[in-house]
Amino acid sequence: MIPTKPVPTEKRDDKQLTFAERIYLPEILRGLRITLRHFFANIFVWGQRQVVTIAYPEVKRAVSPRWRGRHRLTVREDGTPRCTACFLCSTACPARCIHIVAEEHPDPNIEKRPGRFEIDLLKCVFCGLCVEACPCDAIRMDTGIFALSGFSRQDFYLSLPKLLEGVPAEGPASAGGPAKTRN
Amino acid sequence: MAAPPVKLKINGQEITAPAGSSILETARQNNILVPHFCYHPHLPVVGNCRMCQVDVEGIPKLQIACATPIREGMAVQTENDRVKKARQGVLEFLLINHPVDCPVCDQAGECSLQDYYMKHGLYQSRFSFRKVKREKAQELGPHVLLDQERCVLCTRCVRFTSDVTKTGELAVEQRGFHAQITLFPGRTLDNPYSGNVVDVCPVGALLSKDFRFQSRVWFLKESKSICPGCSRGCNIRVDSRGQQIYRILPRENLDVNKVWLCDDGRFNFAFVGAPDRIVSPQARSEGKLTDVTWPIAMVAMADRLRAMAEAGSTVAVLGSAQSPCETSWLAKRLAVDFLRGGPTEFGRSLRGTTGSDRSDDFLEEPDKNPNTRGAAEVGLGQGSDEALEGLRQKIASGSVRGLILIDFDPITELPGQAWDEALRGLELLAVLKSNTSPACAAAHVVLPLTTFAEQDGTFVNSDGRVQRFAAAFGPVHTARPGWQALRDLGKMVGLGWSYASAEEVFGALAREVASFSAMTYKNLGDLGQPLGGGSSASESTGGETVPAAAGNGAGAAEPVRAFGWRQWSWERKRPWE
Amino acid sequence: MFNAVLIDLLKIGLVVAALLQAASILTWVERKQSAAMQDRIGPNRADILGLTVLGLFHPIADGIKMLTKEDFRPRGADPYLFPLAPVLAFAPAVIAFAVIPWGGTLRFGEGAETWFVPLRIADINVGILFIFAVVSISVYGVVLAGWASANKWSLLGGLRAASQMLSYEVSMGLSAMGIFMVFQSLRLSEIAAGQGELMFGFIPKWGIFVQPLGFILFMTASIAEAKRVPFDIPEGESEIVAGYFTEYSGMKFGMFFLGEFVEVVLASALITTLFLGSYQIPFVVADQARNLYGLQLPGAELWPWNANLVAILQALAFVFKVCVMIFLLQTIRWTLPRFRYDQVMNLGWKMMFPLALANLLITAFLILALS
Repeated sequence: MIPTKPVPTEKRDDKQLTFAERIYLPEILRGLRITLRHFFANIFVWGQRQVVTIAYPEVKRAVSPRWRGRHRLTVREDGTPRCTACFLCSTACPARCIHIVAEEHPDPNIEKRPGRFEIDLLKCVFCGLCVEACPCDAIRMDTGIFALSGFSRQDFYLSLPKLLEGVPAEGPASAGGPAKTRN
Repeated sequence: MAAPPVKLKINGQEITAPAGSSILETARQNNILVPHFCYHPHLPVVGNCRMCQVDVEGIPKLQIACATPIREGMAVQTENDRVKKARQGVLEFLLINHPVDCPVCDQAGECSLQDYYMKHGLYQSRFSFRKVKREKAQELGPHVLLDQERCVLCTRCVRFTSDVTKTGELAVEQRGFHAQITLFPGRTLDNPYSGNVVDVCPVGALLSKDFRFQSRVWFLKESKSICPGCSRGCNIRVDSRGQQIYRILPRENLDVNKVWLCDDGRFNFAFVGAPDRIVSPQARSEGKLTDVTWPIAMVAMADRLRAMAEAGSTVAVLGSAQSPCETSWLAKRLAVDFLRGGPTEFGRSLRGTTGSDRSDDFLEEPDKNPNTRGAAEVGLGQGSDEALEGLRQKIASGSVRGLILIDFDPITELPGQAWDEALRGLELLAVLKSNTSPACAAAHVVLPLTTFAEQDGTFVNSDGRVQRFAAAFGPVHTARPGWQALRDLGKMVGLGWSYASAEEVFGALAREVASFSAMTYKNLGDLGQPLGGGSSASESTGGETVPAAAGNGAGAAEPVRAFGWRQWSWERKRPWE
Repeated sequence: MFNAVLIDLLKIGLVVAALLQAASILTWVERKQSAAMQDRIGPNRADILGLTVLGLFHPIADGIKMLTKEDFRPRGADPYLFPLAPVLAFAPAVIAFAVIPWGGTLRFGEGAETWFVPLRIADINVGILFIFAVVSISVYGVVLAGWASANKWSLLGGLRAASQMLSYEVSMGLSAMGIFMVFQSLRLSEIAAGQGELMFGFIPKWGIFVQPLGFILFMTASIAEAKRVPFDIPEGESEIVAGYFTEYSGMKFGMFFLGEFVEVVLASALITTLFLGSYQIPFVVADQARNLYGLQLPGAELWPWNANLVAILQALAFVFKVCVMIFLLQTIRWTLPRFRYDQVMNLGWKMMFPLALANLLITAFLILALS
């Protein structure tokens, strides 16, 4: 949430403090007043309840369309990966977590396709540079998946089929429009 | 008697050059890059790409730098607006039908077209029509593919086959938009130097089947090395990533291989990462070879050697023409200083690392060992079959009780002699090798050695040229360089060797062996020195016989890049461009 | 005789049970209260048959969790001192409650058969000194925990805790001394009884009114003694992981955890006893010697009440005061940021120690002047 009021960040040294501030107790009472006001407002004055908690697993906060979640690989109209194994994502990757093994594509005009495409999520820093580097819009981070968990390191090693399974997040996240069609 | 040198100005810079050179070559020698596609210093000039046009004062039209000889007082501009505009025009024409598929093109990163386009390009294509589609990935021969769409018709490959190999498989057919490189009917590009056409191609049209799709070039670490395939000692560049070689390219050395490399040397590096590499030191206990650590294997070997020395048994050393000079010399020293003059000899592999016995009068030598001269120079022996047979008879007769085998397996390399039986009778057989071979089965101690790609060292080629090679990556598995294993052994048996690197071993070697005198790794440089020439030779590299000798200097100036794509530069050039 | 022992055991059981109960409920209070202060919901997940009851099952869940967790001992830890430390940290706070009076006296029977049951476990003449003595043992628990863990963070935490607790014990003792001088006794029952009187006929003679500075100093020092925020540098998470209990897990960690809450209750009870009139309710008279029980407003007659009713009301008043005090301490804990180490030492030695001495001096002069 964006704070509506800027937080005062004025820096003062001890000599500028007033006497009341220097003996500390009145300031403590001021602090207690704020916390107690919130406490009583939340406990007794129902109209003023201002709880901001989102009950996470049941209620999920919507992610913005440009938010970077787990990766997915986009597909062509025939369902094959759009990726041409050009290695530009793995070149751009600062964490060096993208491992690609290229192989011959049956269509000589496409030429190349990934035989293996693996992302080591434990190394990934979710910077999104792979998405920006991709000339084919083949990799995206719009799945909206942010709760990554697993029982073994292997669970965090995304292989080609797993990456192709990904779907764009619902709601605002899919507002990016359909994938560009290009070779 | 050559004509006197000519003085001229290029971009205002005063230059003196031998008469008869072209503008482009003169500029290249002085580190001024004139963009070009069809020009190649080791191929005939044709002047068909028009990329190298420069502005010569007094001549109204732009001249092609590759085919215009220099004159006294000539003033040349290579970077003014007229020239740049002309280049843009040439590039625009070239790119009309170019697929611009750099992301999937293996040449990307070392492509002239890409580099020039980044520098001079129009960036917005004005060509709004459909590009001409041509055949992709057409197979030309066992090693080479041709992508017709990417070709800029510089005809370097055609000239290579017609003028260097003189096999003439390639030609240009049709005219205009329809012109394309083609094979003569019924021919395939299968000459033993076909891999070079991939190197000479300035764009991604000719592709190495072996390297295709394997890696992007900017991931690769370049290391300067010497081909271990034969006694020619071609200068090579090993491109590796991690502990894997991805490709081998020739390095320019006008005294050895110019800029060429045979296919046998280029493609046969699989032995470095082969599954038959010896993984761990082994020692025989209770009749069985078991994996042990280096210290245990070394102590076992040193103890046995000491015991045999006390008992007065003779121990021989059988080295190899495959080993670098450092290893062979330390082996000789071990025999002289500790084994009380035990016999030493070295063996020569029949097919070497390439597995080929092909030879010709161009690059490939019949001797498939990179260091036959070196082994002989350090005094390891004759290397002849008769000498080896003599050693075998000594073993068979029992006068030699122990044998240290380094990088050589007489069972496979000398099938005519009954080595198998001889080795089994030994009291101690120590085998120091990189890859498993039959001799290991009879060994008491097996120590894994590194290959040429994992160690520093020197080879002496058949012309007596001492050339050094650098490690491309660290030892695989638990292997150690031969000099290191022998040094540790020497330390254990009390020889007091404390060499910290191959360079130090070589320094000691150069002090002791007359023909290497005054040589160091530093003054060997990238291109090496002839034997016996060490005392007079300076940093300069003996290439005086060839007009383009200064090109050696340019090649030497290119630094070996550390691993990592961050150091990558769009300006990266092959050494001869 | 037998009955007396039985009654004492009953009281001990009652106090210990109440303490442990309070400590475990405080874990819930702390979280729920901080949540309310910070506009959050707080614990609300633990449920029995879908019933969450404001998250009140969380202390139970926590207890089960801590009892069933792996009891881990790091390699290199001292095998004897490591398990001993949490006991030493936990036990003193409970023992200290032995001398705190938490109500008046219940009376059963008539005449010679009359039975008096004072609502306290022990009434010893050095009551408050006993508390200080016992509580200072808990320093050993903390230091030994830091030492025995074989962990540098733990050791640092232990050292910080030791220096802090030793420093603030001085101010704590000195600031309480004014109370002893006013009431001329160390016996807590007498201090409690003394606070039932009125000053100038209408102001209750509570410690807070006769020793206002002493109250502030004592409260501050007792927060520091309990190692609560803002004096929690011994466990400063941002610097030394979790301080002296970094390496503790399972119920051993639980003992440190609960011990801290027991210390909070103890601190509140002590403050109540010394400064907030102990179990006294203003204007409610409980004079055993004159057999007077009831409500007496200033200038009014006594409205007599049953003696036992008064005693029970007083016990409830004590609990109420302690609860208010706990609430105040918790609010301070969730309001103030942590001091730096040098600030803690500055405050302890350069401000509170001189102030406590001055307070003592002024009190002495005033007592001399008034007598």
